[in-house]
Amino acid sequence: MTSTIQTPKVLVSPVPNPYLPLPVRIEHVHVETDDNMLKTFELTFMREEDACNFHFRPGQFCEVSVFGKGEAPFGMASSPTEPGPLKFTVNKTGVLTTALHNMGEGEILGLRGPLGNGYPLDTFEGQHIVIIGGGFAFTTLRSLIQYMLDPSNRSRFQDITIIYGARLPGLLLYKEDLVAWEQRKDVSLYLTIDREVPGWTKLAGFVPDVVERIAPSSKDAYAVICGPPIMIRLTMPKLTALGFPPERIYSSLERRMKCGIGKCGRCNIGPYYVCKDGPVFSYAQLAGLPQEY
Amino acid sequence: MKKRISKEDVITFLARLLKDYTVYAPAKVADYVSFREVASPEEVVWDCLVTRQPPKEVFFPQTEALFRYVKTANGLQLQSLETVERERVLWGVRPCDVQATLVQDAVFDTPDVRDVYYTNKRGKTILIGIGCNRPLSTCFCTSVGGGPFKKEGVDLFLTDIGDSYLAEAMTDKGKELLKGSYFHPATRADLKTAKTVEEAALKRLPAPMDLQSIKQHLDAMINSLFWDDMQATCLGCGVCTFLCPVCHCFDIVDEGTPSCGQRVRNWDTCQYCIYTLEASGHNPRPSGKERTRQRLMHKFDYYLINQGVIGCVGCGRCVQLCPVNLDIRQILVELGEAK
Repeated sequence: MTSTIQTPKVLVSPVPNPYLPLPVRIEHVHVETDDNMLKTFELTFMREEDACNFHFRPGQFCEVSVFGKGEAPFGMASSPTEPGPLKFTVNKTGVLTTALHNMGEGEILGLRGPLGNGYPLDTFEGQHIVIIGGGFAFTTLRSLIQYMLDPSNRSRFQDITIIYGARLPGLLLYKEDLVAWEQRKDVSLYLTIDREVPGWTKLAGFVPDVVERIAPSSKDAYAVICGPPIMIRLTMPKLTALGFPPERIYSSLERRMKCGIGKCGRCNIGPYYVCKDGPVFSYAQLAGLPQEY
Repeated sequence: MKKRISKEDVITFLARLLKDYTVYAPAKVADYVSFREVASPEEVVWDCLVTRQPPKEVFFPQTEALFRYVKTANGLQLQSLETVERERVLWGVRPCDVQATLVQDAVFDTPDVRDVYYTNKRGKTILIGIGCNRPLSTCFCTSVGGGPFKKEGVDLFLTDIGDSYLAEAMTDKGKELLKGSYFHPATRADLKTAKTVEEAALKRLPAPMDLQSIKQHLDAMINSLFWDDMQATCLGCGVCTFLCPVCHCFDIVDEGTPSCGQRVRNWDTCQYCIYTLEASGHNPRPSGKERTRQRLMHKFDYYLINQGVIGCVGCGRCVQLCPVNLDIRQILVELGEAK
């Protein structure tokens, strides 16, 4: 679209305006899955100072502006330890994500963030980490894994176990990363698909059953679980049986969001706003609240 | 500091304010009275106790453009529309609506994030409040911690004492306003009349509710059948939230094309199905049960946790205007009896 992009003019007041997006450019688009429904967008800030001021933790998210369509929240799929563009993996679902899927390299988007709390890395330190993901809810889990596996961080965590399932092999995200993780000795990676298909040599079966079969120890361990509600609902009792208490099971929740800063009101679960107090919660925090997620 | 001003002079006072400030006051809007910008004192409706819309519109318009965007051949231009040039006066605001504004302050102006669109307007606005001599049958400010002559939050407070107003400055800005030549020292008789008026008003209002016990009750009622019963008559029209002076929920949408347009925020309501409906089709609050529960829990439980105050000021607009006569006062009584 635009061949030469100059520094854009943004008129702002001395008090930071939390609603103004920062201009970013689509650097690269990568199709993640065989069904073409998931694409990873690599975004770079158009102003040097925005790039310098942007510091995030795994599990945080941004409001991405597709001008003319609006904004929607997406978790960072890249890790702060990775140099280069920010990565967002987007499922084509609604009006905004469809418009985004139709956009290509060089096009301009807006970004507000980082927003939300991110994963409790300090709490995880010195502990075994069991990561359980299903379907396309693996994006911020990738960020977390890449962060923990970074040479500067790996020694801060003990054993890292990853259980990741998808319906079909072609629907697994981040295939290059999966290969790299598989080759590492300091990660236990279990990949599963719903039913066996020819050529598939890894596990078959639903994530809850695989969790039960692998039976990761709950001693000095935290579990992080992200996936479709049905997967989470069926995995929770398995984790409980393995001895994980609710305060040692974390999840990143999704809700329809607008402002991302706890003002517009719509993403609350009880007194918590998913945008501001989350999106990462322990199940101990969610106990006794309406199950509105 | 207390002074008196005659009802004739108060017109002069207002006319004087109109020279220096943009003035919002209760005035006719179509067939009803709401807060809007007025050009002369004649437009002001003096005897309306509870305006149709609350004055929240002055700080948080129902529709507000946040910024304009233009994509040019060589980049992106954003023009924020947050600046407020002229000082404003909110004239004739009632104590319940002032209390609601203080609750909204706690939402929009938090230490971590300032909503500049709200705070810029709020910071440039002088509040001139007026007491309620004859509260309506739908008023219940005293039940929820307020009062018909509660002065907290205003710069200047007026009490109608017959042919005059008793004017009390609550802030330095208010003291400044009292320097006008039309204000005269209040007499002992004026103060006595004001006290009589206040006492008479209080007699028309209900007793305080035990808000902590309501909260504790709500905490235990998440899965109560009470919500099924309560939502059975609710149409989900959202009028209770749109006209609520405390409710602050909004939607953000783009108006325009990918290359130029504006980003706008509009009032929204938790009573609509689409409010929480996700693009996937999943809706965490799929029925009226969850949505009515959200409204009550937010007002009487979550606000207490997050803002330290409840999200209801007893203005009674939701009671007056609910098309199926749902009465929040009655709901709170039934809550206490429900399991």
